[in-house]
Parts: sequence; structure tokens; C-alpha cells
Amino acid sequence: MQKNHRPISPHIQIYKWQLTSVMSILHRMTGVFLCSLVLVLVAWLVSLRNPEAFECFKNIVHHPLTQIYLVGIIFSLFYHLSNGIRHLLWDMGYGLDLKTTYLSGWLVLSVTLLATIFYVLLFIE
Amino acid sequence: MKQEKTMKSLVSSAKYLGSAHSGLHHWLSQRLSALFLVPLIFWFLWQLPFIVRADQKDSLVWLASPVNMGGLFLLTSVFLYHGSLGLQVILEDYVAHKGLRFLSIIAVQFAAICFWMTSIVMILFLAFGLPSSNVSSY
Repeated sequence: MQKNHRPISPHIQIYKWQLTSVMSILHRMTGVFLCSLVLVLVAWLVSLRNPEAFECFKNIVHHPLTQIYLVGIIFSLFYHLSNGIRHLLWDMGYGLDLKTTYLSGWLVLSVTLLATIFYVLLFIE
Repeated sequence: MKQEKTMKSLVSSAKYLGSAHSGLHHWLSQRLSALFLVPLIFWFLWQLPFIVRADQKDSLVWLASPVNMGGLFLLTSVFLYHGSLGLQVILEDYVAHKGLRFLSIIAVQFAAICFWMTSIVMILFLAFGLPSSNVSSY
């Protein structure tokens, strides 16, 4: 078969950035990122076997880099949760017109930002 | 087109393998697990501030409560199921090489089962472990 060198769609570089497309890819990216949370869960459960391991786990969790990761997880969790509910409503046939889609999109982003800020504040001593 | 020498009927070669007829099941499973995750995530977000402040002993006491143990059991199971379904869709969309796509999906499912087994065994092991949780190692 002859190799096809013609341009392949979609041409991501020439597409205009839109709220809908950015939120769609962000849903997938946060979903993939959230999967890593299972590693933290398993590490926590395994560390509970003895006090030294638990101390080690706590030290890792309190490391600044881990803290940044965890804030990212909280953000992703709220984003994936609220945008997921938006997706479920679409699947049931609600809010599919352009105006409502943009409105719910901005709503999801606002809820995510506010919820992330307030929830992270709960953990600051 | 030249007719190949084969036992395959013309209709069957035109249709090739066709649909696996499991697409709807996958679609529905992903949505139902998402719906199930909503209350579980709210429960988790409510419990997390207590968990992060707990020491090892308090954490074991928390885990030994039937409600918390059951909640974590369900959350882990549905989380991993929903996650592996989601990763499968992403791999199907972006991995162009057929063999690599198949292998990566199998790897994701294998990893999900391993993580599920590890977390469930650990939850049961810790919750039904020695009643005195001040024992240094068991």
C-alpha cells in the first residue's frame, strides 16, 4: 500500500482554543492523573502495618513536592467530579445547546476553583 | 476484485469481524460507576480531614469501623473499575499501533486487578488484625 503523506485531521495547531474543547481534554487529563491516587492509597495501607513505616509515609506526605501533587489531586478531583456530573446530564439529554454548554462550563470551572481553595484551607494548620 | 480461495462466505468477508457488540456495555458501565462514585467521593472528602490528622493507632481504629472499612472497600473497587475503563478508552483513542494498544489495555487491567487485590487484602488484614494496634509490627 502506498504511504499516505497527506495532512491528517485534526490539525490541533490551527484550531482556535475553545472552552468546550479545553474542558473536554482537561476531563481526560484529570482522569488519568487521578488514577495515580491508588498508589497513595496502597502506600498508606501498607505503612499502617508498623509505626516506623507510618512515620516514613507521613514524612513523604509532608514533603513540599508531595503537597503540590496533593493540591493538584484535590483540584483534579473537584474538576472531574463536577464536569463528570455535567457529562452525565448531557448523557440524559439535558443542556446540550450551545448557550447552556458554555454556562455549565463556566459553572464547573468556578465550582472547581472555589471548592479547591476552601477544601485545601481545611488542611492548613 | 479477485475472489480469494477461502471457506469464508462473501457476506462474511464484506462484514469482516464486525462489531464486538460490547460497546454499549462499556459505555453504560463507565456511567454507572461514575454515578456510584459521586456519593463515595463525597464521603471520602468528608473523612479525609480526620484521616490526615490521625496517628497510626487512630488510623487503625478508623479502619476497623465497619462503615469506614466498607466505604473504603467500595471506593477502592469502584474507583479502580472506573479508572481502568477510562484509561482503556484513552488508549483506544491515542495508541495507533494495534498490538501495542491491545497490550497496553491488558497491562492497565492487570495493574488495576493487582492494586485492587493489594488494597483489599491490606484493608481486611489491618481491620481484622491484632486487636491491640500498639504492637509495633505484625
